[in-house]
Amino acid sequence: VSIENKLAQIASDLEDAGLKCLVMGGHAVRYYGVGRNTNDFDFYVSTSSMDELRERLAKADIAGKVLAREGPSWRPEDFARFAIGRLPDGREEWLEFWLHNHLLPEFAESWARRERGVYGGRELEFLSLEDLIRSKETAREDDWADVALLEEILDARALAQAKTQSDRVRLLSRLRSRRGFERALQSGLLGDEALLRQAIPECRHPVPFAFLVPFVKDAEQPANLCSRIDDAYLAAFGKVEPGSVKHVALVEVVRRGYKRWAMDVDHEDKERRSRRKD
Amino acid sequence: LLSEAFEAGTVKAIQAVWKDRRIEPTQPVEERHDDVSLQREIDSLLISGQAATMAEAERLYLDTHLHDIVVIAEQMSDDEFRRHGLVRLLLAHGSRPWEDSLE
Repeated sequence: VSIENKLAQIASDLEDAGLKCLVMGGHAVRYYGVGRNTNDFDFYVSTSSMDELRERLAKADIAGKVLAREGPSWRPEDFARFAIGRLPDGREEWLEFWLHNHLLPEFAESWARRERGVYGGRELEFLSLEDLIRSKETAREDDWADVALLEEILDARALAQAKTQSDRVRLLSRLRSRRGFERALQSGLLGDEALLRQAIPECRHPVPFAFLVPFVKDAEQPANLCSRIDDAYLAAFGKVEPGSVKHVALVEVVRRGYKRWAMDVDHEDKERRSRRKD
Repeated sequence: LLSEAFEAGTVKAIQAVWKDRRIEPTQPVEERHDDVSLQREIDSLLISGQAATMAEAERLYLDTHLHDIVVIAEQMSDDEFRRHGLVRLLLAHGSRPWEDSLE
């Protein structure tokens, strides 16, 4: 059985057990088009508590098994994992559930934005691409390799779907990758000042704003950016040729600053949870 | 300063003074990060154990010198900027261009 088919079977069994879940983690990354290995089956689950999850799983048949062994969790009210099998090399396979995480919106919000698609021969519910990227903004360096590739896919999809003015505003205000930026530049979208003036206030992430701001030099930093760009850095954007190597390098400076900030936020969350556990 | 550090008797204090002398803060930012000194600093992050891999050492180095990139962007021509060791390192670690450079 392929790992895709196994994931699809597990998702179907969870649904039969009355559990509302969204696929996240490595399988969701694979679904969106990044070829990489994964040994875990990760879900964002909607239940009132972890105890309810355990009760439902205890009565369920998941991939032909009763989940007998729960692994240790350093945040048991938020995260649980169950051994589900063993790989040929001896390593265990884990079925993992998140109930809460600061990198995930409320379940209802994620569910409303979910993407339904075929994986392992079945239609499954996945965390939306933007929510998946956010869920990967952790203190672990490996997750950022996924972020970089998923950002390219996010931009490629938005470019392919940019038919109306509101699509184009959405595309530019969420532009995350250098490849997406270069394609937007080639398509002439970044020469439309009226479009840029609509898109800039919609930016919520500092990277799209950094891509756009040299084209509209008097544009102000939107008040609701999740992480603000230092004023000293922002002044430099006013002096560079849009699309030049200096512009691209300054965007990368902003990207690294954002990444460091996001890693610190995740690290602090983990520390806080560890202290609470102690 | 070195004698004060030796009197204090801590390796950390000695290293701090030595590091301050080596960096020479009066050196203009565009003259720092030449290929040799950049590699030496990255190697020292590895040797000191502050980084476990070359990639991690490069990331650490970049993250502590982001401000220098902003400064040299204002001081250098596009060509000088593109050839600068710190900029090449930044772009190698950043989001991929449509066609990866063959330079």
